[in-house]
Amino acid sequence: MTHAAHRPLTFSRRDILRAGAATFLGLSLQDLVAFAGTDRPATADHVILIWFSGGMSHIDTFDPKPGRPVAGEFAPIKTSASGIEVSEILPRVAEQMKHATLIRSIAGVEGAHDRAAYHLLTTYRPTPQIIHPSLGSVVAHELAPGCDLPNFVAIGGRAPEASYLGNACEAYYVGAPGQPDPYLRLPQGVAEGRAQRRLAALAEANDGFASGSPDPQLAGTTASYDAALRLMRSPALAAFKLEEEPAAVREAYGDSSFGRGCLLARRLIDRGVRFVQVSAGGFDTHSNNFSSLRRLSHDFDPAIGALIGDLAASGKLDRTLILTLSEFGRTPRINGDAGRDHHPGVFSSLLAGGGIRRGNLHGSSDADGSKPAEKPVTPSDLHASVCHALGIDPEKTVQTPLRRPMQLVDKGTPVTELFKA
Amino acid sequence: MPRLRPRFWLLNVAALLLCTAGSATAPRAWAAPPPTMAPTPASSATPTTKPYAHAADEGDPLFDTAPAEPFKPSANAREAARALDALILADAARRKLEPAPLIGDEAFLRRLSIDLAGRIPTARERREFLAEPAETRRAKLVQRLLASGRFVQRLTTFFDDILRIRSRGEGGDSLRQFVTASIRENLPYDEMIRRMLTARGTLNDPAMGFLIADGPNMLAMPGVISQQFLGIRMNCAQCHDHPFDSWTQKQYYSLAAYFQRTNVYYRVKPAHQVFVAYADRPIIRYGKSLHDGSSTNGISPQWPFRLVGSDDPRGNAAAPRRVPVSKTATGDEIAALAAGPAERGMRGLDAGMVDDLKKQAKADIDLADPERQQLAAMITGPRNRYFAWNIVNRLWADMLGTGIVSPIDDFRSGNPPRNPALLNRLADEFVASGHDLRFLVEMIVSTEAYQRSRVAGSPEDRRDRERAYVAAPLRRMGAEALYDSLITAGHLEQPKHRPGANMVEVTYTVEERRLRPSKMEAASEESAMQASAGNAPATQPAMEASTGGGGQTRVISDYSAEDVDAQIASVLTSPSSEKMVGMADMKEQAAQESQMMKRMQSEENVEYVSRRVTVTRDVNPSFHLASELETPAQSDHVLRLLGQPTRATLGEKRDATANIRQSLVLLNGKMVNEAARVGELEPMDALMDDRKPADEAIDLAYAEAYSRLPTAKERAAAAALVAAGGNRRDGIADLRWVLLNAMEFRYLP
Repeated sequence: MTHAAHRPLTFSRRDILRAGAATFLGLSLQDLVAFAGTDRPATADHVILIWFSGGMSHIDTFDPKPGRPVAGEFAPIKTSASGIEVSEILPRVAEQMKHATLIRSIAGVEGAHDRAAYHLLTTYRPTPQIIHPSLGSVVAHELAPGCDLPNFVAIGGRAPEASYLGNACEAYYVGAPGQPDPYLRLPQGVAEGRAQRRLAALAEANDGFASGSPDPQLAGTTASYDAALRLMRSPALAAFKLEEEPAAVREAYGDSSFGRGCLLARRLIDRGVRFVQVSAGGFDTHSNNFSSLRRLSHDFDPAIGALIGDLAASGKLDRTLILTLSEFGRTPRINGDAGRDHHPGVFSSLLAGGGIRRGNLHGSSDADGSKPAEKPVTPSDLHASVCHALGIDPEKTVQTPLRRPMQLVDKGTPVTELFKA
Repeated sequence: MPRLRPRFWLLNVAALLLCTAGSATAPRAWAAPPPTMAPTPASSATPTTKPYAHAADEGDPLFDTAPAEPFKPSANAREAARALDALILADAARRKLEPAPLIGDEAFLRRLSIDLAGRIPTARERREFLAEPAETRRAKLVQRLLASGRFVQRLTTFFDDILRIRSRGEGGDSLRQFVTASIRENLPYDEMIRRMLTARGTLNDPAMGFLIADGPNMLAMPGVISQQFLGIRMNCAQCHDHPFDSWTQKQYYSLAAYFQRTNVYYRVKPAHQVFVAYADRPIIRYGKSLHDGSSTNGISPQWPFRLVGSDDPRGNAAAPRRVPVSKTATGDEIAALAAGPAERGMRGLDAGMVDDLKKQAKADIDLADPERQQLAAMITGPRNRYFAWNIVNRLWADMLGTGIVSPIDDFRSGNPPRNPALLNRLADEFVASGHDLRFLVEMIVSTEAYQRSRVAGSPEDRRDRERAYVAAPLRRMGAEALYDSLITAGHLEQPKHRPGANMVEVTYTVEERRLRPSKMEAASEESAMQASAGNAPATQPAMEASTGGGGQTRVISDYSAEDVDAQIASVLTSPSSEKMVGMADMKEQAAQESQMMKRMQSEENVEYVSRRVTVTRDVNPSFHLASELETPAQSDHVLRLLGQPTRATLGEKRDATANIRQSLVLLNGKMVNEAARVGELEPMDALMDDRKPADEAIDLAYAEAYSRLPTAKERAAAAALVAAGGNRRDGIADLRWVLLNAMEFRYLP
């Protein structure tokens, strides 16, 4: 079975536009992506998704409830956006709030880690019938790569399978940002000259194999080796060299795996990668919620603050959408172990850049942070909004290998209020 | 009480006799299953449900291809193979297709070893094979491999896909153990499936793993069973009538109704445990408003697929009968569980269900599940042709490249078999053998069709002959076979270097998580290192750490660096795509996570201390075989990059196409490079003298990698490459790297 047989068979307006324009206007893919969707011009070209694995407490971070019994140990602080306050453990994020929209009315439904992560990242509820691709794969599928780096990079945590969107939309996993990927370099003890000899002999050996029988499988294997070698030698790989950044910048992001991940995300975006997901873990604070969060914030607060500030300063924030997602929020009630438990009912998401309104608050939770009070936003709506920013039609359908039509986003409506008029 | 009609009884008895007669005439090289694997009593499970009238009854090529003469079972697998070849050649002659010649002995050795042992042959196996008399060596090899432990692993891998085994899923490990044991003991295939479908109690019965793997969600079962055991796609019908096929949602629910009393319970304290018991009332409902739960009714079990043979037993859809079975350890065990503190201990149950369980525990735990027994009998019974068609077609596709019905899970009247007589003959012989999987494999690999060579030409030119099974298609080794073959060719199963020959310095940062002094004593009793506080992995590969650079790896530990060093050294020196997670490691990991949860409760009393640590380690490489690893592996593991499926959904195919990450891992990864490097403890070491000609070493490299000697032209090219390497050891490593990365290694001869 060749790969082509697995490819979804539908064409979007963009595909047709791309094919037609590439033929008749001679425009590059880059140009076309900038034009994508003429009736709804894209406001973003890249996405950085920050994923809080374990489920971050919304009340202790983005949605403080001062004066209520549920408030917990942290006091609210003012941010650079008037009228928006966040928890004291987010001083660096608070400084950047003037660039961001904070949604306090995300309405989830799944309360178990795996199921919630699946729902938040794919918009579909888990079922045994089929695996749905995550937002990163959807974007990688819809937008042509801007460089020869992988189009979807997942840092510090794995992303769901690309499933029916195909191998090319799978996340490229980077486990240790800041360290060179061992697979992108020649193996230890093999110098360039020796590698050249090996590759020349390999090409010769393959030429002799089934020479009278051209085959798409063999051609695909050869093409894949060639692409791998091109990637190994690509100047864009310099994105992974965090040491090129000034010490002050690296310091601002923080000496943590997550901080390095955010810095790497920015460098990948700089070179044209469409979608980067950076994961932070440890938020499953069933006990000692407050001390744990305070400790975790030393990593994630400076990193997110630096990322937004950095992109804002360089002007790249205009075309890069940053958003944070969590599996769920945590209960208003503080349990006997000074912890909070899973709470999908309402939680928060921070968005910045890519056409998102600045210094803006969207929706709210009720007095105790238990349910959405105004303007509830479902995970599907949030994904649809990201698609909207990128000029992707969230209702576009693709077909699974069994020819079942699937929408890119499950029943989502873009929240147009999030965007600048 | 439903009454069985005498006539129907006779029919079943007759069918049973036929099976027995068939297996008695077939040569059985394997001992009958020991008493522990004795067949389940099938008598209480005679099918009594009425099948739907099937829309495709008229003119279905699957059913209406009358054989020229009535089927008579062959005396043995080789004779059966000749009958299959006759059908293939007759079909090819009709289509005017010329059969390709048979492959030579060395190619046969390689092809058969990959298909039956799941890896290429060693140089020694090649020598021994060639030393056998030419007339009998192929047949003897088949016998030897079928009796080997490798065959058990190989066929387990085949069933991993059919049963969608996921080591990390609930019951996944248990189910795999059940499959391995069944194959080792040559349990008949129908009995194997019956045990999975009728399992009850706890995972002490490992066959239970099948029922609880999908959720557990009994509503998913019709989709799983129809597609995986019968080759019929009716999964879409769970949510809506099937858009292209004839299945209705009602039929789906009627099939699900066989599971309507199958209740799965969990217990989390003192330890996680899952068990299946018989519900006191049907839990599967069907009606107009499925989604909001209103106006639904119970639905009775009904068999939706076409059956062969006459006289379906009109009327009397089975009313559940309570069949007491003897009290077993399992029953007592569940009763004891249910008597415990259920309110807190059982997850995912509302109070009513817990009460039900408590009430029912004593009464129902010892009841068999008659609906599921009926279903098992229907599925595996002789009147259901799909059951045998499905398995013979899947194994045929696995060994010959494409199914007689293709795709393998799409049996329907609109997708006819390429050679109906061939499919039926395979199925008949298999059933007559007593559903003997080794007989089936022996029959397939003994055909000439299996031993054909490839032919030249464009894919279009070759296609007709390949589809008629008179020429072999291009076939890449499966992920596990390729992985294990790299280990075999590179002598990586055991360390191949002397101890101390691969010392490297590893530098990393340890972030110690210490309890403050007052609690120190309590901490010393806890004994697990943990990798991370969340699910983002914190221990990271650090190849460059071995040269002293980089080394930003952070390890969170309760112990001093020296203590955890032994555990993490292997992790640090394995790049992510080649990291090996064995079955045992997974259990360890789970234990560590629960330790961590406990420890988090004393978070107030911990402090963190960072230290940079450098240690020297012997990284003499050795790799576990694929069958010893978790399956499926993590998403970027080399096994997955080579096409191992996730098995999370139905209808997944093994992807044999290449991708960039796969190529990078094969080009630059540790495994291939270590396989290429010559160790002092492998046979090649004796040929490393730079003063002697390289020919002998080159021949051995070819024999080990390709199961053949090089041609004169290849030998000359290899000699030039080896000479350019500077010294013999490096030169041979270069040659082996090329051989392992080249197409010939991964494609079957």
